[in-house]
Amino acid sequence: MKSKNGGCKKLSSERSFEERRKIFEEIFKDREPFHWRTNISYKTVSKIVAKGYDTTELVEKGYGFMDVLFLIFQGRLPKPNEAKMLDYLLGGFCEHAISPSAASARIVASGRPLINAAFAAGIMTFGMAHGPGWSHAEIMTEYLNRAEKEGKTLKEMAEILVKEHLEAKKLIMGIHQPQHVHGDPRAYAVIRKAFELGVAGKYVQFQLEIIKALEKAKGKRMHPNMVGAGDSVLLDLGFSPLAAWCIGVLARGFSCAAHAVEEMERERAWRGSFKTKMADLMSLEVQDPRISYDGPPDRPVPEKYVKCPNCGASELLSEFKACPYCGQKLK
Amino acid sequence: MVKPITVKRIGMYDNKIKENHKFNSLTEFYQWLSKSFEDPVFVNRVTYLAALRWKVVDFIDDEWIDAISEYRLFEPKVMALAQKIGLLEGLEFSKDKAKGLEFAKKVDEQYQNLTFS
Repeated sequence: MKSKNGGCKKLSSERSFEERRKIFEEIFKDREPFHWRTNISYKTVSKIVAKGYDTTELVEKGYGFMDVLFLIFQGRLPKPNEAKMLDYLLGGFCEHAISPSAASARIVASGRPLINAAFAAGIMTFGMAHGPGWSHAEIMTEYLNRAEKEGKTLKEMAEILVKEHLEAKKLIMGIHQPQHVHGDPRAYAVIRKAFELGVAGKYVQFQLEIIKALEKAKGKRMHPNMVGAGDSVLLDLGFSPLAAWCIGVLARGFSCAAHAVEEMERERAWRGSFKTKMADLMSLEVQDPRISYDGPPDRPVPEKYVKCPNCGASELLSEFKACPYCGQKLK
Repeated sequence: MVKPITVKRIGMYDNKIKENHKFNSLTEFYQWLSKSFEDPVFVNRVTYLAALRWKVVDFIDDEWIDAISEYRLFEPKVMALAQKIGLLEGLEFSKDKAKGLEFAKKVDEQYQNLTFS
């Protein structure tokens, strides 16, 4: 019989259930068939259980969003001071006016996609400069591991970190915010709150030592930004570097969503109308080539094809030296 | 006009409150800062920020300054004043402590002009 399906003699739909089951057992003789594997949660027809707790029971008993974040990322319910710290941190971090994330969410929303595309675009801006939580955590962890290995105090290791970064002319993650040049209004408050609530650990203390070491090296204070403060606190609260970054980014996602909603509800789509009182983002005035364009001047488009003067063949590529049909030399 | 500023001096690591004060003006707050701390940039920075922010947290020499200010002034106006006086040189704080005093006095005098409206 001719195969209709690659090397198989029969399509699977042409086999009986019994035949298929037999093949299935043969294939998975030595391997388990695929199944999801997670220690975070499960659900059945009638309930959803996270780390052993029925999620409805959790919220009915007064646990909230912060508690559930601890539960799903760390597998434990937080102490009241830890939940309070996370709430304080995310409440402060959530909104930051027009930053790359909110601006991106708004620009995407101006094209009127489904709104989730707009706030997804917003949080996609987080990386090496905007909200670089992952890079910050990597550096903190690397130098803290070195401190342990080399028997250095946090102060000594902070001085080494600063020296190595300044010599290599590398930015120190967690320090400086380009707009809040007199200190991010949230950063010191977050660090202070961590001490007040008794959750400041080695990451927060190391962050402070970095600020002090940098001040000593440069002769002036460079202030921490919200990543330096917030990410250090998240790490001290027991979140892994990846989890800490995700939590920060997703908290800002609410802001991106609010900006996307406002964009869709308040602003005109496209933002390029001639009719608005304010010249808008995509207005042609804003793109006037006299102020916005610095590419080559206007010029004629070169002919792509030439015609053979001898046999009349057309659409010959201009780089041909001779006509491929009659051999006539071409200019 | 009384715009209170409360401030605590707290040990950075032990959370112990070393001093706790309440002042009735930015000028009084500045005078306490100036008497308590040598670093002019720190004194000027904290004075400036207390005119703007409700919560002012900063640190120096293993001590937190944790203040609550009722000024809450509008930064574009306050920054222009600070730059005119010379408390701010561009965006950098002056190393001259006297600029902080001049700024605080002017803010107390011109409070209404420096609000958002």
